[in-house]
Amino acid sequence: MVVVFILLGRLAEYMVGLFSDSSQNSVLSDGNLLLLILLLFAIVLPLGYYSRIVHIGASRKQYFWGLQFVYAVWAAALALFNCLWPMLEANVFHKNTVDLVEAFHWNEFGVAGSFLYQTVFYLMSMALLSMLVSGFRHFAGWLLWALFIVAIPTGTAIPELRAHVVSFFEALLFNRSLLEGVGFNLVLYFVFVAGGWLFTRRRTH
Amino acid sequence: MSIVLSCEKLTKTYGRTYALRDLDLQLEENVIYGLLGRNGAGKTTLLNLIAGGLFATDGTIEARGKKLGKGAIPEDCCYVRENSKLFGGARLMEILQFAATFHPHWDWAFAHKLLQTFRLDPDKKIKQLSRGAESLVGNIIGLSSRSALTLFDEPVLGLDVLMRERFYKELLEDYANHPRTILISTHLLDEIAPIAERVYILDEGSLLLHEEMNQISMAAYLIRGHSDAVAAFTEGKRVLHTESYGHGKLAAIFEKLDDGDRLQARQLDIALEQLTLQKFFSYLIEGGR
Repeated sequence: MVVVFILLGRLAEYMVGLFSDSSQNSVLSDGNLLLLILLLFAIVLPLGYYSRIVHIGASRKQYFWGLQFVYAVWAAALALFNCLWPMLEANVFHKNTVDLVEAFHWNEFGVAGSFLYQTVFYLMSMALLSMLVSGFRHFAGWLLWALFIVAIPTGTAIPELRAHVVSFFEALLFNRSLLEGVGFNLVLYFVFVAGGWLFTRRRTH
Repeated sequence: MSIVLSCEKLTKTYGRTYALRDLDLQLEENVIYGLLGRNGAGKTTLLNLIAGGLFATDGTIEARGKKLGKGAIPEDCCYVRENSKLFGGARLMEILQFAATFHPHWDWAFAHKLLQTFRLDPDKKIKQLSRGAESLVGNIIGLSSRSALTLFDEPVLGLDVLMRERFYKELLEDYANHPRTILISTHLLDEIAPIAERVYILDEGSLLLHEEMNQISMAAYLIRGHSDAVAAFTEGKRVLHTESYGHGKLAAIFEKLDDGDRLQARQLDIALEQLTLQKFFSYLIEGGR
C-alpha cells in the first residue's frame, strides 16, 4: 500500500515534470508523498465505511468518534514519520529532496514542535475534507464545496482580498509562532469537526 | 406490561408520496410482533425510522417513555436489515467481533452455536457468501445481540426451507430463555403465524390492523353455503371477501363466533373453516378496510 502510494506520487510528479520547466530538478520527499494516504482516508472512510459500520450496530456518535480517532492516529504517525524521514534522506541516503516541513519552516520549531504543527495541520485538513465529503447529500454541503472552490481564485483575483488571503495562509502554514500556528489550526480543526458532526447527524443509512 | 417503544402519528413522505401516514404503534416488553404488508406498504420505512436510519417527516417515537431525537437509536436496539452492507473483504468472525462491541448483551456461546446450526464457516469472507448466507450473518447478529428491542427486516430472505425452520426454532428457543421485544417484518405470513404473538398489518403506509395472533385465528373464517344462507349468516358481521358459485356462496369473515353463531351456521347448513393467515391477509388487503 505504502509503495503504491509512493509510486503513484512519483508518477504524478513525473507527469507534472513533463509539462514544466525541469531545470531545477528536485523531487518531493517520499515522506511527503505518503501524506496522500491522509487525503484518501478523509475521502474514503466517510464515503464507504459509514453505512457498513452503522449496519453492524454502531451509532452515528460511535462512528464519528471512531473516525476522528483513526484520523488522529494516522495524522500523528505521518507527522512523526515526516519529522524523522528527512534526516534519513539527508544523512543516510544523501538525497536532495524538497520537503514540506522545511518549506513551511516547521523544522525551525524542533522535532517536537514540527511534530505538533504537522499533526494539527494534517488533522485540520482531514477534518475539512471529511466534513465536505460527509455533506455530499446536503444542500449546505454542496454550498460549502462551491464556497471553497470559488474562495481561493476569487480571493487571489481581487487585489483588495489578496492581502487577506495571503495573510490567512501565512498564519495557517508559515506562522512564526508555534503556539499561534497550532492554535489557529486547532480552531479550524474544531470548526470542521463540528461541521462534520452536523452533517453526520443528518446522514441517513 | 411496560411499553418498550411507541410511535405516534408517524409520517414519512418522499416529495408528495406518503411512505407512512399517521402511524400509531406500540411495542410491549417481551412480545414477538409480526409486521406484515405488501411490497411498498411502508414496513422497511417504519423499521428504518425506529432504528434511526431515516428521519420522520412528522410524528414522534418514544423509547421507554423518552422521546427520541431525529435519527436517535433506541437504547439496546439491534436492527437486522434486509440488505445489510457488510465489509466484503472481512471474514465472518471479524464481522461478528465487530458487531459484538456495539451490543452490550452479546452472547458469544450462542453466536458460536448459531454458526454451527447454520453451517457457516467463520473464516469465510463476506464477499464469498451467498445471498442466503448473508441473511444468516444478519440473523446471527440479531439473535446473539440479545438486544431488548430487536428488529428483523425479512430475515429469511434467500433462505431455503430447512434454514428458515432452523432460524425460527432458534429464535423461539432463545426467546423462551431470554424474553425480549422482537419485531419481524416478513412476506412469508404462514411461517410467522406460529412465531408472532401479535401482528401489525400495514397497507399504503397506514395501519390496517393491529391484533393478537390468537384473536385472528379465532375470528378469521371462510364460510361456504347457499347464497341466501350465507347472506343471512353474514348480516352484521365484518365480511372481507365474497365469491359466488352457482347457487352457492363463499365468504371470508373476520368476526368472533359464539355458540349461537355456530348453532345458526349448523341450522343454515353452512360450512365453517379457519382461514390461514396468508388468506386472511390477502382478503383483508383486497377489501377488508
